[in-house]
Amino acid sequence: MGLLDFLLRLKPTPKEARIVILGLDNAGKTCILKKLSDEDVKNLVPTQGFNIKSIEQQGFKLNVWDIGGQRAIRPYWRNYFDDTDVLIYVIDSADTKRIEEASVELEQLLEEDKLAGVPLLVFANKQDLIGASGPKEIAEILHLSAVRDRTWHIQACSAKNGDGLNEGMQWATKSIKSK
Amino acid sequence: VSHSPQEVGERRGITIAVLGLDNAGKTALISLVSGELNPNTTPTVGFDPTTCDTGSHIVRLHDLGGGGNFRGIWQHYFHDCHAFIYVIDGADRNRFAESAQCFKDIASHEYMKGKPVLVIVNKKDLPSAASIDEVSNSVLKISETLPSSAERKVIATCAIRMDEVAESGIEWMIKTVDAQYQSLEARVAGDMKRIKEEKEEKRKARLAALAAADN
Ligand SMILES: Nc1nc2c(ncn2[C@@H]2O[C@H](COP(=O)(O)OP(=O)(O)OP(=O)(O)O)[C@@H](O)[C@H]2O)c(=O)[nH]1
Ligand SMILES: Nc1nc2c(ncn2[C@@H]2O[C@H](COP(=O)(O)OP(=O)(O)OP(=O)(O)O)[C@@H](O)[C@H]2O)c(=O)[nH]1
Ligand SMILES: [Mg+2]
Ligand SMILES: [Mg+2]
Repeated sequence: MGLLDFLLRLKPTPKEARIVILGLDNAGKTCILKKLSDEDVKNLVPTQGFNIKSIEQQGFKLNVWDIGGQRAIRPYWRNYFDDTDVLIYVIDSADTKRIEEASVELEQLLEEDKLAGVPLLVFANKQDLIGASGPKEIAEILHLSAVRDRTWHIQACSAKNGDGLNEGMQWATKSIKSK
Repeated sequence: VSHSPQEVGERRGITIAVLGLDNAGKTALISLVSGELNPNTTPTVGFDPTTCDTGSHIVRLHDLGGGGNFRGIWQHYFHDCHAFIYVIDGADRNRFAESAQCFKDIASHEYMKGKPVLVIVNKKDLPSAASIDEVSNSVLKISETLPSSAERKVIATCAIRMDEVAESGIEWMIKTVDAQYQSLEARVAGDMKRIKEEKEEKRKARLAALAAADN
């Protein structure tokens, strides 16, 4: 074992990280954030500005920013890009009509300088609904296979019943650790 | 002498795709060779590049999830690699046929055909593990599957303990790619250019369709 390996292991890992959740309106971003912090997910209304919550995950303090996705407020997304450790992009997997729109928005995000190299977690949400597309189909529509400048992961989930959310957040934490 | 962008600073860039069925041990192997042994991997459902600086080369290992419904995505990562590593779980005999088909599909793909390949028979620590010889000749039928021009090497590893065989395999791969770098790099650059152009056309079409739908 060389000295370099030793140094690598001694490298302190950050204890706090900033996560930004983006996606079209109605994708389920707020629902995911609330479910992750064990809050009631009934009667959600479209987010006009943003919500922020701190979540403990494997010794990490994740500061998670959930930003409104309505078209009129998407230009403000970029105000939240600074110092982002992980980008979470949420898709309504049952809304096949709008996946294309979601894809175009994501493509623009991935070109942002401030988000260069930031690990990407895609939540293929609303898997509980009949007709929801699977993660592989969504990965294809989003052209994730064109992404080479960062690690990405797609996680099937349902913010309604909570399935898949923890797995996704574990990946997010791991990608911060290995940065 | 003109240098490609991959060659900046005299250090050649080498991209290697790491492929194989889910659970074969791809992620564990990449951890091992990049110096962070990790016996507790979780399935990869996406893409995870690891960059290593060997002093003489910048090596990018592309870890891709091997789950059944995900393998269709691999081909989009073929054109930009100079070589590939194929990992097979040497102890999972029930999946030998599936793995052989998978190997064949990769080896015959237009963007992969003829590129150097390192076959890794992993999990040699398990009692039922097949030998290098069995995997080469009976399972993957390597000499039938690969064109004779393709450089190849087969090694057996255990990815969850320190194992120098894996490292020497990567060394072989780097040396082999280096020896034919000019032609491999020309091929990669040509394929990348073509795909970029195709993608740009498709992108324009998508944006136009979206704009039309808005009106
Ligand atoms: N069936 C089902 N419904 C969901 C799921 N996730 C969210 N929803 C519903 O989808 C609607 C939109 O959810 P929100 O979380 O408010 O969506 P958002 O992405 O925050 O939307 P904006 O704030 O407008 O950007 C709500 O009615 C949720 O109850 C899910 O996994 N399954
Ligand atoms: N006994 C033994 N187990 C191994 C070896 N290599 C990997 N494993 C185990 O096999 C399982 C799968 O390993 P991964 O590296 O995650 O497999 P993968 O090929 O990346 O799988 P996907 O990401 O699903 O494509 C893990 O539980 C590893 O600990 C080995 O050499 N011997
Ligand atoms: Mg919201
Ligand atoms: Mg893996």
